[in-house]
Parts: sequence; structure tokens; C-alpha cells
Amino acid sequence: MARWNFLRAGAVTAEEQSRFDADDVEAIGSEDDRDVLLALAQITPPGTFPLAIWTRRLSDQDDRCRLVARLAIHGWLVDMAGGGQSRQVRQVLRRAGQEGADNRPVAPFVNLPPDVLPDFRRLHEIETALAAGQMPSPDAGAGNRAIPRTVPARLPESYPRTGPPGITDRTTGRTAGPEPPARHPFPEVIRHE
Amino acid sequence: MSDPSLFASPLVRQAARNLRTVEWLSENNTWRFAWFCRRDFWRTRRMMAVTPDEAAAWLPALAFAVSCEKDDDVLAELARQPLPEPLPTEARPWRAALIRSWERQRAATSWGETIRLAALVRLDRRAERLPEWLVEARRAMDLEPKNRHPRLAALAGWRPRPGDGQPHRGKRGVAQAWVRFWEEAYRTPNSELDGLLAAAALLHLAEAGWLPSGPSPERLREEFRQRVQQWPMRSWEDAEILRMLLVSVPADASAPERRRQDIMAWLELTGKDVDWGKREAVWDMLAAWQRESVLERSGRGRLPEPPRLLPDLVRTLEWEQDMDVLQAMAGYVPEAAEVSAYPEAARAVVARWEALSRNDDSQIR
Repeated sequence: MARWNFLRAGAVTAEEQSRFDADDVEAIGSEDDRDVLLALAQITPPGTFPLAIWTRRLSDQDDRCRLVARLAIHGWLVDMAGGGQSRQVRQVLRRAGQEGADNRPVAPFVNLPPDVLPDFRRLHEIETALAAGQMPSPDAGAGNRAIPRTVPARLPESYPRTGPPGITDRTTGRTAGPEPPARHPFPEVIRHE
Repeated sequence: MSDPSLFASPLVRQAARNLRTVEWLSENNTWRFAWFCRRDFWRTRRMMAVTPDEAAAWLPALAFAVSCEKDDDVLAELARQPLPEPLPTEARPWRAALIRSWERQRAATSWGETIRLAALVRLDRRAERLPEWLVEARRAMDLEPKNRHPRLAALAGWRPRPGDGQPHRGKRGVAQAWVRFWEEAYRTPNSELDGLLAAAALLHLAEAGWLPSGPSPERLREEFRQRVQQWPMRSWEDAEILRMLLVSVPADASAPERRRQDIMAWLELTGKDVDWGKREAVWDMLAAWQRESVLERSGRGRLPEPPRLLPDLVRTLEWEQDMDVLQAMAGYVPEAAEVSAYPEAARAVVARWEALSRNDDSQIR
């Protein structure tokens, strides 16, 4: 967490950043402490999202480690779909013949359990309520969702994750939205997309 | 009719994603039964470097989490989550929703009720709520010390909103009664801790200009710090009380030099010979000041100068071993100008965190 904070503040060198990236990926694959793994799932470094490694953790013996892996993958899919890369998600879905005609849940990725796939219908409901200045009503569909089909598809590891911009970068303006930042938030570092 | 989501701002879209994620987590049995998992999730969120809008985008998710939560430890963590000020206009209804969630919380224990009060006092700074807080404060005086102190600590954190003078006419009597209540507790405290709590409450009132003829904010700041230093912490409850108190204290915004001296004096409470509970609470407060300061400067430019603690961070990281203190220190987010001013310290801090992240002790990792 401390290293992530320094990274977001733009306070690390290119060398420190590459060590962070390497340590992050290695820890996701091997960390046995559930709290550490939970912190790793919450940070979102720029570069490729290590989907295959997180997917392996879905079959971890520890139920909390499995939950954390679900959280990481679900969060990545939600961010990609809502964060300006929805076209890429749609492309993957189309190739897999899985695009939903009406925002129904779909299962684009092989070996991913249905419950990590975002429910775009509910996401849309929440967005609509918040945009109208209201809190959404409770999710009527919770626990009663249609189970998406799962078909073989290539794991989309070539789809990069855009990390959040540096927090002290005045030029980026709002950072919570879907538009990618005007310039890369970590100009000193090499992205491995 | 048009679909409001078509015009949703980036902030709304991010808030929707955050809320959906927490909603989705709450449907998971492991999440529901492992309270420490929920606490650690929110603790990590609190320590993370975020922009003001990113913090605002978590408010709906936070309101939802509060509405589902029953565990006191998790609720205590939820009550400490960052509240960006001033809030973006479209996030104001979310703060109102968060206040409603806390109001609907049905605390099963005295400690739970204290957490609920602390959250509401921090969130709703309108003078209109004072009659309610005054009733709670008077009621607290009838409780035994182990329940009285946390309750008064929660109430002592009330700060008038910026620019709010003492209310006029109808509310004036209540405001004066609130001032008198704490002045009385300050003059004739029942215990060392009661005096410390009263000093914190009066500090907030003095900084808002509510004590025209009372002690000055400078004197109260110094006195509050000295009382924290002298107070012998004895229990887990004491550590919680100190955390609650220090969360309510903002950085000294009066003058850069005074602020620097205040920070230097607080740093004395992070030394080896100081109780771990104080070290943790003080680092937590200093890191929060830094995060808020960086955020405000990058977002809205309110605070004059953030604290620059990198050299102190290096020195402390050489010997600090306590997991909770290290966790508080991990929330420190330096500013670019600070890194330029202390390049060697910045490299040393990163190197030390790298080493600690490979530590055999998973609690330190």
C-alpha cells in the first residue's frame, strides 16, 4: 500500500516502478496472506491486468483468497466496461458470440465463474438513480440472476488496464470518469501493454 | 422521457461502479460472514491515495455498506472514511444518503451507539443538530467512565462548518449552552481524560471563532497536544478514544510557521519511548493531514502548505516494527514538491517499504 501511494503520487523512479510491477505480479500469484492479497486486489497499477494469474487464484483452497480473486476480476471487468473501454469489452464479447442484446449478463471469458461477471443491467439502474440525485432502490434481482452461458474464448490479456492518473496531476482534472487521461499519469515509467 | 444515465457525469459513473462492486460483494457469503474482510477492505480504501472526486465517488457505496453493517469494528472503520470538502454539487445527495444510513443504524451496544454518534457528528456539522448533541452530552455525564469517555470523545469532535458564526436568535441559546458545557468540563474535569476531551471540543469551537473571550486556538492546540502526551493510555478503549479524537482535528490552517511547529511537536509523540497506540494515532493523523492537503491543493487549492515529513518517515522506518503503526505510516502520500526537496529521503523511504513488502511477517507485508 505504501509503495502504491508513492507510485500514485508520482514519487517513484522508472526502476522502482518496474520493481513494483514485478513484485505486484509475483505477489498476486504467490501471496498466502489474505489481507495482503485483498490490498493487492484494490490497487490498480497501469499496464496489463494479470487476468490469468487472478483466474488461477479462483481455485485457491482458502475461501477468502477466492473471494479476493473474484473481487479483482469483477472490478477489472466493471472498470473496463464503464471506464471508456466498453468497446473493447464488446469486441471480445462479439468474438465470443456472447454479446447480450439487451445488457443481459454474458460470459465472455473461459473458465470464469458466472458470478464474477458484471451485471450491466444493475449497473445501469444504479447509474440512472445516482444521475437523478437518488440512491438506487435495493437490487430486486439479487440472488435470482440469470446464469450466463460460458463458452470458450481467448483470455483477453492483451487488453490493457488504464491505471488511475497521479493524484497531484492538475492537468488531468476529474479522474473518476471514463475518459482516458489526456496524458499518461506516470510519464517516467514504461507501460508494458 | 430521456434516460438520466445518458447524461451521467464521470463522477456518477464511477460512483455507480463503486456501489455495484460493494453490492456485489455483499451478496457473497464469505464477505458476509468475515467481518475482518470487510474491515480490511475499507481500511485499505481509507489509506489509499485518492483525488477528491475519487473519494466522493465512494460515498454511495459507503452509505450502502453502513446500511448493511452490524459489526462494531467494521462500523468504526466506516465512520473514519475520508470526506472530501467541499463536496462536488452532484455528490451532496450522497452525503445526505450516508447521514440517513447512519441515522437508521440500530446500535446493539453502547460502543456501537458511540460509533454512530461519532459518524453523525463528523458528517453533519450544521448548528441545527446542536440540541441533539447537547442532550447526548448531558446524558453521557450520567454514564460510568468506561461508557462516558467514548461518548464524550465522539461529541467533542463536533466542528462548526467553515464560515458559520455562532447561530443567532432561536439557536443561540443552544450554541451557548454547548460552549458552556465544554467550558465547565474544561475548568472542573472529572478526570485527566475528561479534561483532554474538553480541550479538544473547545479547540474546535475556538478555531471557528466561537470563544471570543476564551482561550485562544493556539493555546488550546498546544494544550491539547500536551494533554495527549501526558495521558497514560491503559486499554484498547483508550486507543479507540484517541483515534476518534485525532480524526476530528484538522491541520492548523492559521499560519505556515505555526503549522510547522505544531507538526514538529506532534512528531515527538512518534518516538520509540511513546506508547504504540499514540504513535499509531499520531501517524494516522499526520498522514491524513498530508493526504487531505495534497488533495485540496490538487483539487481546489484550499490549504496553504502540506506537511513535509519524508525525513521523519525515513528515521522512523529504521526502527518501527509495530504493525499498526506501520500501517498508519503506509497511508503517507508525499507531494511532488516534497519529493523534489528531499530526493534522498524519498528514495530511502521507497527502499524501506520495498524491503518491508518482502518481510517474512505477513502482517508487515
